[in-house]
Amino acid sequence: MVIDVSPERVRATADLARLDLRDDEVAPIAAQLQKILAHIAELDALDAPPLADCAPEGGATALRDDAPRPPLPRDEALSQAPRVEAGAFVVPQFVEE
Amino acid sequence: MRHPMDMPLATSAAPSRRALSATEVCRAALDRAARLDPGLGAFLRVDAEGALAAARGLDARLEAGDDLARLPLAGAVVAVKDSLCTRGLRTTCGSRMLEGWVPPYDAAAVERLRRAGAIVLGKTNMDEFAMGSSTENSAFFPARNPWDRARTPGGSSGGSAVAVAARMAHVALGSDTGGSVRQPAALCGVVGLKPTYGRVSRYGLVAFASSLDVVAPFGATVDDVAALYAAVAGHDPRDATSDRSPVAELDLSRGAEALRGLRVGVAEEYFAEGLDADVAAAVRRAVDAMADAGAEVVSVSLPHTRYAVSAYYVIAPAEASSNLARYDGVRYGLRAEASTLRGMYGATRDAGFGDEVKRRVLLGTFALSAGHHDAFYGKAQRVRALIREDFRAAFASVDLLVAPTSPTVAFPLGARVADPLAMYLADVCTLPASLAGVPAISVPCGRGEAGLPVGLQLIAPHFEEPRLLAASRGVEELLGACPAPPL
Repeated sequence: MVIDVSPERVRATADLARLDLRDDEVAPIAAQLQKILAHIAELDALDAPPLADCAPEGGATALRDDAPRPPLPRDEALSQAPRVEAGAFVVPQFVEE
Repeated sequence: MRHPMDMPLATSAAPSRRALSATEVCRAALDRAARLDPGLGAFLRVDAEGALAAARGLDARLEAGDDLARLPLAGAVVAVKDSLCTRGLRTTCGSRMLEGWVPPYDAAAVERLRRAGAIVLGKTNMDEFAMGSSTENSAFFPARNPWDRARTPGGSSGGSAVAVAARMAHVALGSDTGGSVRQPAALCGVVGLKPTYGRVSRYGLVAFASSLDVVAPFGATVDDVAALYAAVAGHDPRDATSDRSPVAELDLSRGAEALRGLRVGVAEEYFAEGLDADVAAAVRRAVDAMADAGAEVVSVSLPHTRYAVSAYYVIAPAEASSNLARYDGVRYGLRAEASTLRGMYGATRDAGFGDEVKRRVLLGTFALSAGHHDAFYGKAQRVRALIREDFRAAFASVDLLVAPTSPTVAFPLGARVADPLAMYLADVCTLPASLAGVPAISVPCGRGEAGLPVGLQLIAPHFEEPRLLAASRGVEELLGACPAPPL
């Protein structure tokens, strides 16, 4: 599949990734992604098994014992946060008053 | 007397068996790092205080009559890649995003190191979030190859490889997602082992691509790598992909005799266009030496090898785009202030991530986005199954595979920075084993262009580390370990 990586497509993808690119970053990234995706298109020619048959051997993901453990203490969890107030993480307001 | 950091781990470190105290060995390592590292850039930070405290603790235990022989790494000076969490010691993963972050816990592998008596000297330089093959994507400064400082040490665990090559640490931990331990080991003339996926706990390893990430040891010799591997391998309930099977005992005592009767497969797909002639010649000489020592060398085919780069550069960025969503400026790490929540997320991620990380987050987000998911991510997973099947079929007829580790010797700083695809294509020899999850190691096998080290890659079936390490020890006996570079 040949993909046309336009600056608009880069901006839309960056929006999905919550990445606010500067204007001068967009064109070089578009050109680089175009080149990389053109190379990856070589996979189109391959006949590969259906996804259902692709799980590695070894079976299901292991589960831990269902036993309570002490959590990370709140003070420690908050100690690395950029902004904290009243024992909570603080972010810009996102609900209208 | 020889410098304590120039001796093999077994004779240099164990305080109960040598003339120097752990504190004296630790000071020797700190002095060497202070002298050499300003020109090499292996360490993002040296923890002199923590290292000396650990060394003094060992000496005090010895003084009190404690039997330190129970501790397999007693007194070993270890460098730890900055992608592994260290309690109370800053862990940046080579990124501005985590520049000031101090983890509240140790990674499982670091916990096991400390329990085994090792001394953590410091945190090593790396490509940001382990995305790169030269350590030039470090947000702080590039690491330099100790054989030629105008060249890269490889990456992403370049700092750990340099720390061992320059004998600033006895051994080092790195992480290998697509070759990030094997390739720098090859380029710096040391040994680097990527264990089987799931053999070493990923708990506390900053996540890049979770289906590929493996915590992996470096050493100057196969014995040293084996000692570090044995200390960190084993089940850990905190990592859901950690394997529950017991870790098999290692026996490296047979030396080159371990090669007698071993069926060794050589896949011509690894000797394709792009492989430098000097590297190919060194690898072929190593294979000939193995045959002379009694190995049965046979030609095999792994037909999907060339597609590993494309499959990897869809799967790894897709997983990374999901894993790196956690860096949002809320709970830890960098925050760029903005008036709205969405604005804060976007500005934080633009300011905190470097170019290569942004490129891979975008590539991964694109590959997972509506309308492209099946064509890219789904297809890449299906090709990954073909690559896994290549190895399964090959291992039906051979015990081990041998190949080059890197298609070139160490390349000049800056040579591939402007062309990300060229950098990706150079990972062609290491990516297949990563995608298949099988163990693989790089051992030095002579010199190439400009006298620079060349690495031989040996690959074994899942969980056959004992066979892989015994054969590697045999190769080392035949070819000799790489000496330290003149510094």
